[in-house]
Amino acid sequence: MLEEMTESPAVAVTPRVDVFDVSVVVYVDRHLEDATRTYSQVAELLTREGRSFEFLFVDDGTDPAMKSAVAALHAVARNLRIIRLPRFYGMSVAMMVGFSHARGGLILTLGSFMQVHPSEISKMFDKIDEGFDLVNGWRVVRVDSRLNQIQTAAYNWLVRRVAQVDLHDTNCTLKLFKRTAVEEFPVYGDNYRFLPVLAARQGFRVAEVQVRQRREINQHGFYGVGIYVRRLLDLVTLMFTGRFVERPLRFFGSLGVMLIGSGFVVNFYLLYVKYVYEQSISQRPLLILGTLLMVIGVQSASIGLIGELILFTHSKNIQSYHIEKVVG
Amino acid sequence: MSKAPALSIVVPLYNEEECAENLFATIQREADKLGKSYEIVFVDDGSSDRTFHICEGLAAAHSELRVVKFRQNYGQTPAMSAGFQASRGEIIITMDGDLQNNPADMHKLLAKMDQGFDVVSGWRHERKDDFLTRTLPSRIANWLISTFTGVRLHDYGCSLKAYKSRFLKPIRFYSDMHRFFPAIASSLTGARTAEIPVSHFPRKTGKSKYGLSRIFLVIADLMTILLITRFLRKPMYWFAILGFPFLVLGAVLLVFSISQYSFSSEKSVIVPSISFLVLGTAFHFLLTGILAEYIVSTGETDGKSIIAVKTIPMAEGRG
Repeated sequence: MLEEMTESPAVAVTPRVDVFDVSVVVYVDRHLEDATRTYSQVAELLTREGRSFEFLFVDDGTDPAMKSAVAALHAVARNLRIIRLPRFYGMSVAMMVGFSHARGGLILTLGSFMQVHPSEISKMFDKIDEGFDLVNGWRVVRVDSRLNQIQTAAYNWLVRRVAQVDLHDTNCTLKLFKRTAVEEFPVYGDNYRFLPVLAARQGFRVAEVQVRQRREINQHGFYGVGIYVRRLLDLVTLMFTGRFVERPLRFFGSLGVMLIGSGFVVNFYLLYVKYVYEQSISQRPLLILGTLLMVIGVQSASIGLIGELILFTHSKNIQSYHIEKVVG
Repeated sequence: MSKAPALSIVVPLYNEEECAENLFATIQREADKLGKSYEIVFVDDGSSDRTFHICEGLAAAHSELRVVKFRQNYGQTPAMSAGFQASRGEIIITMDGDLQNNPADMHKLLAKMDQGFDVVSGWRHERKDDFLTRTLPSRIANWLISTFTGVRLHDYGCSLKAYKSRFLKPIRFYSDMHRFFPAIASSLTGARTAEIPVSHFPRKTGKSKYGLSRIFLVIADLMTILLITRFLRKPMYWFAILGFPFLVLGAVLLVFSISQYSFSSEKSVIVPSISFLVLGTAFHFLLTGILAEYIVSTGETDGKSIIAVKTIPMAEGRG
């Protein structure tokens, strides 16, 4: 039988067998202050835990100095693979490529720099052993500036509301999960950051563990205005990737009906003005508003139709359920 | 069981620990009478009680039972869909997991199927439910679905149905589609549908999903089914039809305002503006139609590839 072709070389087919207990996926960028220290600390911890491991350093060439540092580490470290991407893709894509190459039963992701004490990681393993599928880090004693802390807290509060998942620090890059959790649903685009939310939505058991941040790290002061826009869009994405997205017409259709309805109300008011008060309405901008509302309503509904069409024509790819087990 | 059975009985279960065993025994007893090889596929839709545990025990003791366990509760359509994909029989019979349907009616469905139909739906013609809250809304819904899809059935909501599996397998079902399976199968894969009266027991626990308040959702769902069953084969044409009234209205307004500007002293700015807006909407539909053509032509599930075609091979030694 012919082997199935993979669509792009980046998304290699992961062998289903677990070769290692843990795959540690590390994103290499300029914030990775010390690749050697990251490696040795985590490797030491995993050895102490008695778990076999592999390291995957995913490097998208952000920093040439880092490239040589990782190469030097590769020469001496054991069980370390480097995955080099041809150009900068950002953390989400790099992480996902890392996942697709991982051969461990568990995947541990580390952000660009070790924000936490390595000893904190063992708490996450304890949680996994309790039977959870994904354990998310929750950075306490934040070393961020006050402003960053406030806006991060607000963001996470909104995520909890929108996603209905009880998590406090979804953006924490310290995550430990069973590989099956990422194999069962498509992680695309920037979705990686919502991994815990997506996993919880699919019925995986998600927990979080408080991890202390290392004091000595001096993080950059202010995220910039762009982050607000991005986070706002993140929230919109979260809303629209929920389950009701399987029926876009229900959403866009109701929106359309509401818009058309309010347009009707406005225009009926104008008709009333015209025929009861006998005033001319042909010069009133309100008439434009009423008509515009109706037109936008019609467009919203037609976007719902397009959404349904996209869903159905691509329904082979829709995973509307996840099977845990088949017996008999 | 290595050989594929002739018949697959698909039953979604959600928190049915009390009647799962009884259900299995009843189905088994009635299926044995049919004189066909069969399998029973239970889909545990993420029950929070002991349903799966009980089913697992039954499956260990009876080789004809398969159990598919969902990670969480997804609803009727995904459960049915997973059941379809897991079943191996040429004929698939579906029914409710709460014994509202009578498994003894299975032979009636099969007898009707033998008359040359591909989908046979049950019709609970003497409903044991409250008229105002359940029977009336469901009558309205059935009438709407029948009228819009052109597949006339009295009781779309009845779970007891029989399908030839080749008319179901090419279609992927998602969201809340289970009510429309016969309509979708009829228009997409080309199934011939029929219905027969079946017996019906009142629901013991739980609430119906389609009350009067949900009639709006039925309409939205209906639009979707309409889209799938009609638009899929010529999207441009249907979007053009949707845009046509706007074209006419816009043109009328435009002619009106041109004549106003030519002959009348009252010159309105608003009326021509509105005519542009309405004409713009007609244009929007045209563009949407083009977009729809792109989508359908690049999608994997188009209108042709899923028709359940039967090819009759060339007779040997001729031609």
